[in-house]
Amino acid sequence: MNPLADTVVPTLVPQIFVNFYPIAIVIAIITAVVGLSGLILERNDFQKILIIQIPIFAMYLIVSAVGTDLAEALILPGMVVSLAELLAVSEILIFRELTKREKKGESPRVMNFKYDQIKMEVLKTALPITSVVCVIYGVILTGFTGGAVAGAGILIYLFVGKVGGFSHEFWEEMAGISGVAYVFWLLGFLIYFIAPQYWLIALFMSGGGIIIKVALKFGLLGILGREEYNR
Amino acid sequence: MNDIMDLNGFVIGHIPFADIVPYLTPFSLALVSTIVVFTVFLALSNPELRSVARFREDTVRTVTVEKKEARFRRFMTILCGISLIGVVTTGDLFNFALFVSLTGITNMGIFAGIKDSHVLDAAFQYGLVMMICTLPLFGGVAITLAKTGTLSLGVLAGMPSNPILNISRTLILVGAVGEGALAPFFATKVEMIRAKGAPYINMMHLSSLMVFTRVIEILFILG
Amino acid sequence: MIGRILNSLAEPEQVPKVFAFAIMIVLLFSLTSSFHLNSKQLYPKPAPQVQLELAKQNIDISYNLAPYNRGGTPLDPENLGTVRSQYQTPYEGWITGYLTPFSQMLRDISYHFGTTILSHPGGILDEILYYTRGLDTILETTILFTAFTIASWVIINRTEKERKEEKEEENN
Repeated sequence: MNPLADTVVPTLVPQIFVNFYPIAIVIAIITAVVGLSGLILERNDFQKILIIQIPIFAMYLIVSAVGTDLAEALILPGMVVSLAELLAVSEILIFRELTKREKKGESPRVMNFKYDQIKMEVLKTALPITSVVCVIYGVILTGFTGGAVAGAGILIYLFVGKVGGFSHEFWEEMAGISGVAYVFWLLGFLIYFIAPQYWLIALFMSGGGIIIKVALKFGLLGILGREEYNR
Repeated sequence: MNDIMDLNGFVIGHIPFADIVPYLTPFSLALVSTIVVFTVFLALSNPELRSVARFREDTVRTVTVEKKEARFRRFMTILCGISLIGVVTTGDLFNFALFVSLTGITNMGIFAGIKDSHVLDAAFQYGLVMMICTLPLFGGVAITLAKTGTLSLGVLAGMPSNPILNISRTLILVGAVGEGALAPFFATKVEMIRAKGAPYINMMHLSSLMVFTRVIEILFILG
Repeated sequence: MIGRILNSLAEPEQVPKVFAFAIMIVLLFSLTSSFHLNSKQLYPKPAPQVQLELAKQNIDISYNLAPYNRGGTPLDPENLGTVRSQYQTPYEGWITGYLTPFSQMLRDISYHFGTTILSHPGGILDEILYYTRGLDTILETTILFTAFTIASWVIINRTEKERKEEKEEENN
């Protein structure tokens, strides 16, 4: 080992993390208590979903206060779990509201108010460029993070408004490709465990598979949303 | 602290996925076989045919689940069964928290597409509880990690107990109770069970039972 | 009185509130104890700015990955990266030093791109997320895709029903 080994990775956690830990935990608990009391007082269901994000931030604080590489790696699953729950719960909320409206005999449409589209040059040019930048940066990042960034880019692109070129059938094909990509990702993992000496191909399979999968899933969600609102 | 051997007998086998080591003991073997039998039973059975009689009407209607909907629910039920097997066999604290979250989200998925505002309201409230639960569940795990420096249940079993661990134990218990919709919080569940499509909703009861059994074992291991 | 309280608890709307209150009590109660970070942790990290200072001194090109330099060359059992995992396996530390051609270019340019390079294949987080704790990653994505399935199924279910109703309206 080279003489710098201890600065590469120390054997013990540096003192600075140990000193900051109690402060971080106290701040996290205060954040959580503020968020939870807001949840108790709130009556609007939609606001409740938003307020719940505050206790979730407190959770990130508690995890990241540990200050190791492991904690950094654990934040990602925590974040994804809360994102997934947010997605499912908000869909159920929309569905419930529609069912209630139907019972009352109102129109079940989400957007039953008319609005004029805002005509601004910036909205037409800036958003597509942003989405393209997002996609390119996501492809550079690769992996799960890259997939999320690229997917956000595709979502923006789909929500901008009228886009030509990509039909519904195209996105259905893409959904098929994302399934294949998921299989690639799992196969990559399998190679990791069975034959670790071929790690490079495993890495590329899993890294490439997951970016296609996540990005296209976001895209699929975007096309579903657009179909619903632009009908 | 309690050793795994004292709690549920000798370890039959383990799968070394690097840091995460799921293990099987006679106790968890019994739980796994229960889950497998129950899930297979539910996956093979057809959805119920509920008959509805109304006052001042001379007819009895039968209400059934659409084929597509039944298929979706069956998929969620099977996924729930798989995640429950993970819950009872996993040998890592963080992994346990993730499996419990997966159980919660599949439970919600079983009810997601029912067009009944009462059921949907209950499912939504359960979803809110689930979202709050990420705080105590992952927070408790992180506090344990900070105090002991490890997440593996096999190593944690040999650590001495202390007051901080009691806090994280309480948090993990509260988190699992909310995520599995256990005893004091199952009012949401009772509302959800009014949904049609009988065999699949039974999965919720099994998941409550299994999550509860496993969380008690983990509390014993931690303290 | 007790009956009324119990009845109000049975309302689904009260459940999240009661639950939030319970967690609040537990958290406030836990404020009284003294939290302390055990310094013997898995996968420890160097103190902030230490690696960046070394990178500024140009000791070794690998410090340009600061603060995520963990040493090691890829696929080399002789020179493994430093990974302090729970259960040692012979294959750990193989990809901590791995860089794609693009990230190699980024590394040569400047020492400010450490975090960007980390998001590429290779590096310490990939070692943890994809090798030593791979099951966590599989689970995490399974949870996300389950949520996607639920959300898209609800949306499709809704739109299909509405379309049917629309067609019926048109036919009428």
